[in-house]
Amino acid sequence: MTDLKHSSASSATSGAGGATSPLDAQRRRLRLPFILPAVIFYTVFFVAPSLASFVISLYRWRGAGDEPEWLGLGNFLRLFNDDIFRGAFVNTLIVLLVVGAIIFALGFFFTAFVAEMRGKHLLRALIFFPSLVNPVVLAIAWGFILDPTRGALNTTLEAIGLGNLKQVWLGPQLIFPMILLTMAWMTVGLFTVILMAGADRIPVSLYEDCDLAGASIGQRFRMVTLPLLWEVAAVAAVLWVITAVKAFEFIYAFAGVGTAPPRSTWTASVYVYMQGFGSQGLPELGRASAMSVVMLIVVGVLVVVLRRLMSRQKVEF
Amino acid sequence: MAVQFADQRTSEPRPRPRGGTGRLRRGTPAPLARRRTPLRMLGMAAVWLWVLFNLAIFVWMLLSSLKSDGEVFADPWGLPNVWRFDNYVRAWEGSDLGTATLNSVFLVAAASVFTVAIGALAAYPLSRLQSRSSNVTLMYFVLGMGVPLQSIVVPAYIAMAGLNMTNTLGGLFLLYVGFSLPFTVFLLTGFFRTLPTRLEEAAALDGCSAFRTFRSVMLPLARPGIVTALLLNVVSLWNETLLALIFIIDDGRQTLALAILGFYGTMLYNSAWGALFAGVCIVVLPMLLLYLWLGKNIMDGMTLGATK
Repeated sequence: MTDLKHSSASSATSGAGGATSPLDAQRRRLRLPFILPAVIFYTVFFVAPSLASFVISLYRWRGAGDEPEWLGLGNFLRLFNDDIFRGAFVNTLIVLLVVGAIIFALGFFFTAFVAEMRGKHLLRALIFFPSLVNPVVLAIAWGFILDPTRGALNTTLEAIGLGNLKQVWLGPQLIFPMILLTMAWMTVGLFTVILMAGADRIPVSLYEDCDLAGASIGQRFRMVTLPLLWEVAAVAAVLWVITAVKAFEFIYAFAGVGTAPPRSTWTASVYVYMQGFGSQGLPELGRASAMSVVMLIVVGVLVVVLRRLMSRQKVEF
Repeated sequence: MAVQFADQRTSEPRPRPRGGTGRLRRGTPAPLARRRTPLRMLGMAAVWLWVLFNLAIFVWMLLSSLKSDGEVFADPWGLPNVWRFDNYVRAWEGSDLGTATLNSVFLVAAASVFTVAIGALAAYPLSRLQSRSSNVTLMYFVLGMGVPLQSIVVPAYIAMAGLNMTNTLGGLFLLYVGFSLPFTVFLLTGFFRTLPTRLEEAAALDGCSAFRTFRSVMLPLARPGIVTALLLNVVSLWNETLLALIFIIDDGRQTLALAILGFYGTMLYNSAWGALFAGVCIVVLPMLLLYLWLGKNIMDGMTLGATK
């Protein structure tokens, strides 16, 4: 942040020779041809579709060949009376809150301890690695580990004499909690590394002061690390909201492929996919769009709320 | 890239302890931190447990890919009795994983290079011009980072169907470029801002054209940032599944993520578990190699947006 200000300040002074400096004139000339390609691609292939979903959400449309039928807000009204939608919506919020709580708790925990351990770069790299792997692959791996009859977890529990702890991990009771836990495992790395990168910027002198004052590790964390990490954590929280709402592949693949994922595990993104493309019946493109509009609004609201809640007096250091 | 980013930021208060800095290693805290309280021991043990668990999962994947189908379940934690490298051949040939890998390689390479190329072009003036319109443009890109991918799938599908471009890698390419641009522009604008302006000024005074200045002065300077942007796009597109799942139907045009999903589906009937894990490793290993080679760039880039 400070860095950016600094560099923009310096470029402002360098341009202080007046708007007529050759560089400034040149920059102005190149602006349009340089920026346009990206703006066009982004607008046509990303912005336009996301705006169009607002329009489509107002129709009933069963896909190619069907005449779209105007429903107004009908799709939205119907959504809220639809148990499957409500389930998916609530599940998304559960993912957001439960997984979010786990990853931030673990993230802060790792940040506090790894900084003081030997080989912290290696540790950091190993904590991070799952973030680079396709969630589909991780879902497959967990499917093998948690398989109730032959999976590694149950057979291992049996082998070490803890057979009474065996569970039908992927059964209707436990599958969603298992998704939450494994998702947390999979996502923790990225957020930990973000928090650690923030912690790296905290001047060591502050910690030296702590040491002189004889602070414990808990005190150091509470008095120095946490307040100075707050801003980074706020951005990470926003990032988590976006990540959580769009999480799809992992949940889709978790229960095995070939059959639809069980309804109890549907989140908003799975709902959009199943309504629009995945179910055996006719696609409900309007309803799928309505769901995506709802989620877009949810993201917007949450981001604003989060920023409000977490904004504090900025700590300069 | 972020290497420079990070350095400029951290080097003043505290040089990063990196290999060779010797006595400047101030990252390791002072005496009290070394005292072994029970809490500290417990915390460190937990960290190690977590890390070893991650490692174990990946070793397990790798070993499973070399076992016979029966062994995958029967002996999950042991070494393979016979090292079955032919699992990879079975996966590569059996389920079109070979074709899918090639599709993915071409698609990911083309989309990442193109995204970074036009992203860098846009980021350069956005980073240099302090005008209202350029701030608004940048904001326009940044907002896209908050749009969940599922918001575009239905309209994009309808539009692509109208253009007869569903079920083509070309259609997927266009969408990949569209959704990768926001982060790429955001990242590169931030990076360009950290680069000094003096060289460009000199080039402009010497009469270089704007494009020439960009190409021969800025791009070489920006190389670390460009590399990071490329890497992050490669990672995210290599793993992208939702759009591929919706748009691609033909087996011959599958991407790797899609092929492995399909493979997993058929496995439930033909139990070729060993080959499935070989497929899993074909998805994971390129990312692992990239990570071992350029991991610092990847990690710095991913954390950059948040810590800046």
